[in-house]
Amino acid sequence: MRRSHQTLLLPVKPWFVWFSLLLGLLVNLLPWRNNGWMLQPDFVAVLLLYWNLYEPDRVSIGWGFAFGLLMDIADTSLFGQHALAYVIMLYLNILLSRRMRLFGFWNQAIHVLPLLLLGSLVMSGIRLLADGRLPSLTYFTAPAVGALMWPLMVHLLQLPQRRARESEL
Amino acid sequence: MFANSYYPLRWTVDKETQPAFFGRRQSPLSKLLWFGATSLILLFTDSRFRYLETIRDNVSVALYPLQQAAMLPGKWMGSTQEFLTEQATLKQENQQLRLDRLRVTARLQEADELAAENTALRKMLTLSLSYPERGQVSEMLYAGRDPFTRKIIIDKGKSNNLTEGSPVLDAAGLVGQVTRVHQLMAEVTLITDKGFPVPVEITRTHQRTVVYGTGQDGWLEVRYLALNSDIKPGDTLATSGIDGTYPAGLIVARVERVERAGGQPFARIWCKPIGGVDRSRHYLVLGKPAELPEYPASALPAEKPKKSVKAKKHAP
Repeated sequence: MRRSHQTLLLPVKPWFVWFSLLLGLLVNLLPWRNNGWMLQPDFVAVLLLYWNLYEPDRVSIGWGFAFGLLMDIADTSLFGQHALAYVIMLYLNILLSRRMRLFGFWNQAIHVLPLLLLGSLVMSGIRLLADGRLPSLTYFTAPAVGALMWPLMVHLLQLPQRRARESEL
Repeated sequence: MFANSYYPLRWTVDKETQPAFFGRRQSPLSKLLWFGATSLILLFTDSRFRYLETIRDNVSVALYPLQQAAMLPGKWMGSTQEFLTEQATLKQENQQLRLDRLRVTARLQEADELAAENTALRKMLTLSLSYPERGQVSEMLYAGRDPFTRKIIIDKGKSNNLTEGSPVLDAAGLVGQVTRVHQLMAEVTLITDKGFPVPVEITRTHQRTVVYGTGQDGWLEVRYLALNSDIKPGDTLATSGIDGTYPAGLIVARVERVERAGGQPFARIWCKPIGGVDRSRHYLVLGKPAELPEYPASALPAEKPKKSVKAKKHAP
């Protein structure tokens, strides 16, 4: 398998970071039909983790806070619910990031899974404290799908940076 | 200057061991504490007091184009599907609609007559009209992704004079209630939301009761009905209109299962909503019904008399 640290990447364009995050927000807002399942992952969370891993100077904890608030408004959930979960996830991501960058995409996905699960747990904990509601267990399938999606997503996101480099060589 | 030239160095110079003058960045831990504390404060203020509604309102306007864009794929799919439907299906549907219209026209004439009669009678009795103003048709923008609640977002808001508390229906029956109004859209809590009460009556017996959402899709529950109460599967529940929120007579649910276990004081009654709570795309939002008269003071539970009142009573 191609290891992520072996490929040299061109610097990312700032607009691309913004574009991908807004696209993630858009995908989160799509009218998904949940038939009792929560299969759609939180694209914004996965993208924030990705950019935080590869562009730590650009996308840091503050971005998690800002996009968390946007998600709270879009989701009509409590103010700060997504924000707190994203902030905690991104902090742990920074702690893990030095190790994660050395791994292949699938090993990274194994690291991403507990982070996403923790985010879901934080959110359900907040809702339990705030108004005594618990989601069904299927709520926790979304982080699993998010982690499974990670390798494909990283590959797609690095495509513009990688292709330019290869054509140059 | 340094900030722009760090790219080539990025993988060689470790940020944590960088000399302090390279970046005035905060450490991740301090950021975590900062933003974590801020979101905790926000959480607290939002769950205890509703101070942040104006912010929510303004940002939701900014999110509106994004939400509209998210609707586009579904709309395109719908229009291609429409384009590709067979003529035979359309013809059949047309026939059906024609028949339906005939039936409805007959009912409508009857209803018009009854409405006129009702107004006349009410005028005679000098009662205020209890009919709500005409409803507004609105489209669902998206279902809230929040898995803890059952809510949908519709495309009418303050700019269309929507108010909180208005009932929301679809062609078949009651669907929910407007619970938060933004500038361009509104949030509707569905009747299946956990603990969401709707005062209803069983149309067969006119027994008044309350039906509650269970938080599961497609299930409602009637609580606190005695074991021997006259209710059976197949009964329809319609709003009773006694709460002043829903006009009377909106169909809500059909009773599916009644469990009468000996050891319990109340029967367990499971119902299914009749309106397309999680299926419809178009909804009718009714206006608020006319204000009910004040609750008679004598019927209120006796409060502790205040000292001044007591003194007055004893004075003469």
